[in-house]
Amino acid sequence: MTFESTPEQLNPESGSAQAAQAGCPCSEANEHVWNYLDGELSEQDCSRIKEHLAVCKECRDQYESEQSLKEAVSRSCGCDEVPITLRAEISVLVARLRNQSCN
Amino acid sequence: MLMTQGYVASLMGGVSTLPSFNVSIDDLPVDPADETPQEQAARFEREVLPLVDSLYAGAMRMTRNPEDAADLVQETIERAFKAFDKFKPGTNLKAWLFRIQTNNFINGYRKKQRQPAQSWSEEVEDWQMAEAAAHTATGLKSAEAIALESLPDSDIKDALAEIPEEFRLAVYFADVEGFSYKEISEIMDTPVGTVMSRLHRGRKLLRESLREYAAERGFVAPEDKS
Repeated sequence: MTFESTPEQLNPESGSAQAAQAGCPCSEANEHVWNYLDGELSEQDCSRIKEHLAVCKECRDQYESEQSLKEAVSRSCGCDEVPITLRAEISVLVARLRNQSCN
Repeated sequence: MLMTQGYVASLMGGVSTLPSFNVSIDDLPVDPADETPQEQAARFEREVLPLVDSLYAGAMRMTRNPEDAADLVQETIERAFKAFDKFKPGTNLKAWLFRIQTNNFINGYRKKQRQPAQSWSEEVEDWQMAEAAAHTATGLKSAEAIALESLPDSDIKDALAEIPEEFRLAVYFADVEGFSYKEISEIMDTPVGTVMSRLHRGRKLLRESLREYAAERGFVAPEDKS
């Protein structure tokens, strides 16, 4: 097991060229990649990260790997066939509740 | 003003007298206080019943078995019906329903379970997080991203089912339902910072687990743990 390549350690190194120019875009992209994917960033922050991803393969790889995880969960975990019996029970339940509230 | 006009017009059945808004009459928020019980029940059926599929999927992720999930959804429907006058039209109905369901699950249903609730809370064992970190530090390799796409839905559901409850629900709400951090914080009754940390830890553990599922299916070579 190795801890040599945590994002904090890895990216400043690989992104040192950009880091010298504008703060440290790799560590920023790293830190906010999930906020970006989750749609929680301001428009301005979004475009900054988008620009960085376009030029930095390392961060783009990380972004794509996180994205594939999110997509896998999204695709797989929201589809469970509702049992017919449950649908029927809900119809009966709602009819009963409606009668109670309307009488 | 416009809303009042629209609402009155709708009561009179005078759709044709409406000025031409860019919204359909169904989009205009109603005031529950102005509704008859019949109207409110009808609105409940119209708006809530189409969300039963989502509630059931959420209940499956919570309870992890179909019988308990069905019971939980029925409880949610009953409570939501009785509290429907407190739902503010125009706000996120699905988030409101999930708040009821999550609350039911945590305070009601789960206490009845024979199996004790997982008590990991925020405190996942250090070794577990360390292991996840060691494996995921550089993100998935693209071969593994492809493996993720190839894994059957059942593997991903199983992997999600294995991670601690708070993390599982946060990931479900964010990735499946697409709720914002703020909505999740309201649903789970916890600060936004906690939601973010649950998502962070949950996703790490999930990815670690999926890596093993992928290896078992021969999609990727097991990680060299040197």
